[in-house]
Amino acid sequence: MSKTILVNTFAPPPNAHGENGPEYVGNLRKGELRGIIKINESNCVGCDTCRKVCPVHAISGGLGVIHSIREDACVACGQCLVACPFNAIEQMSFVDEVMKKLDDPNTLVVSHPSPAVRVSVGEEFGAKAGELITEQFVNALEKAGFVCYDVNQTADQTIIEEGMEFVKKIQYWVLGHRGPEVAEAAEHPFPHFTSCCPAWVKNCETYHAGLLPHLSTAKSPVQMGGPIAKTWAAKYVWNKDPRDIYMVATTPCTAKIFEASRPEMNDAWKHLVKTGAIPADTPSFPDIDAVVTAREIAEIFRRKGINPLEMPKTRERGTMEIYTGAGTIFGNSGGVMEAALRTAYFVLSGEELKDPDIKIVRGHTDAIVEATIPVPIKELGGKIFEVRVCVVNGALQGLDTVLRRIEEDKNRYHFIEVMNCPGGCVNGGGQPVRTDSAAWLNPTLPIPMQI
Amino acid sequence: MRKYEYTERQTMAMLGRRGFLKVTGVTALAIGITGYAVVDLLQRRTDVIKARQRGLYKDDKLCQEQNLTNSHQNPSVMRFYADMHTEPVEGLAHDLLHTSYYPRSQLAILRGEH
Repeated sequence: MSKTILVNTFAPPPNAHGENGPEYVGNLRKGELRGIIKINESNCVGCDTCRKVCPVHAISGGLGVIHSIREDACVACGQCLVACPFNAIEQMSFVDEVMKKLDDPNTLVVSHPSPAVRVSVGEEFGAKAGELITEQFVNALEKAGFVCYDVNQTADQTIIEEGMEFVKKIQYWVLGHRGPEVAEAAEHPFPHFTSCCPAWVKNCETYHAGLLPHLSTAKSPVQMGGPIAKTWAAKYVWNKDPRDIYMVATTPCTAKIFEASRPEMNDAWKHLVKTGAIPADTPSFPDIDAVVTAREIAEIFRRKGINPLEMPKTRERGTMEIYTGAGTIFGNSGGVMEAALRTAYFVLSGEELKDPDIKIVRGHTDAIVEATIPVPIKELGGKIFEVRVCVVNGALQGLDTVLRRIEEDKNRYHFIEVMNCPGGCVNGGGQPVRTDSAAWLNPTLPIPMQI
Repeated sequence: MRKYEYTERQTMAMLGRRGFLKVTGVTALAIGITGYAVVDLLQRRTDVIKARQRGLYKDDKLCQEQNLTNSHQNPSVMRFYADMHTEPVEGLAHDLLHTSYYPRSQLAILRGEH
């Protein structure tokens, strides 16, 4: 039987946000978390595995040398952490803070679980890999004291925003529309890149700054959830003071920890102050208050004595838990693309796709997927427009090749999805680490027999 | 008449023909088994990824059965725009749901510190 491995964590040290330093240090701004992923020097044996899986070559070291991570370069994706055979890489954790908030009766603690968590968290309790336990998981969240606001729903919101953004780009650049509705598209030419993956966003900001105008301005689903929860849901669903809402993103991802600390991610506070919903002197609060990984939500369940696999398998989905198939496939490589195409097809052609499964764009385990999707354009009388799309399945595996192809031919693609982790979020740096997957030397040396 | 005398070379004295076969055989076997185990495990690593992907596609099918296939069919998402009196990518939705990016490599340069 395969087991999951307990990954070591540490609480954020003083000055983790750079709060005592200058406006920026290196390429990190004040407020942004640093040192989210750390190599424990006393556990590192210098096996060099981590250096080979890093998508941005942020790890220094060699065979037999204690490795270290360069903070400015690191995108906090955690691929080194899940790949480390010696469990020597540790992650910054906010579990203690969340546990404290759960005990506070005045605070509405909202768990914001990503798609890929519902197929992985069961593994921590002995379920088979990939077992889908949405209902049991949400029931367990509720028992632990959380209110659930599903990221799958904000993924749908992302598709509405990013899909419409993409449609506007087609209207401006292909159909020749002009006017205030499409004015913004003029500054954002094709190819359109997705912006859901925070590791890819930081990678792009650091190494490919010239591509920033091509990046979708839509926030990632998790970051859309923060402002929606603290404005719309606070008023219309929960009837709660937004200052008493504590958003806990529950993700398969460690880069989300960095993303949540970005100083501009406080749009809920800005809006509430501007509209006078909260006093103008309220200190700024972030949209997402804490991020816990799939491993850590399992840790919270264990501390509370909850086993999600023993929870009831049925559940009536509330307003904040309703989601569509397009939202749930965000966790797979190619999923954002497929979901966006479903909605873009509907808007451009005026009719639903007959077969919604656009299997041709699914990443599975291929590093790069290229496809052409014919879309009949309604306003051109059903004339077919071919949308050329590309899916990068793992930044290390496919990104350089695709970026080189764009340099050679700027018109090659309209829409490019980039997922930092091979396979998509299901293989994220915050997912349970298993003895039968990457951590193949641990805990039985030298030949892994524990399978 | 000189008599032929067979003497093993220095290295052969250390490791005879049979010994040599034994050592190479065992080494080859050890490398083979470990190599197989490693390749097999790397293979299994993608099995875990594939299993989780299958789980999400199963979830997609379950949603499709309830006529929740595309994002614009999500009633809660559409209610947000109605309640907040806004349109996708416009006005309030743009303020709350869109962001901007920073050319990090140039942060130091842009701020005038070199």
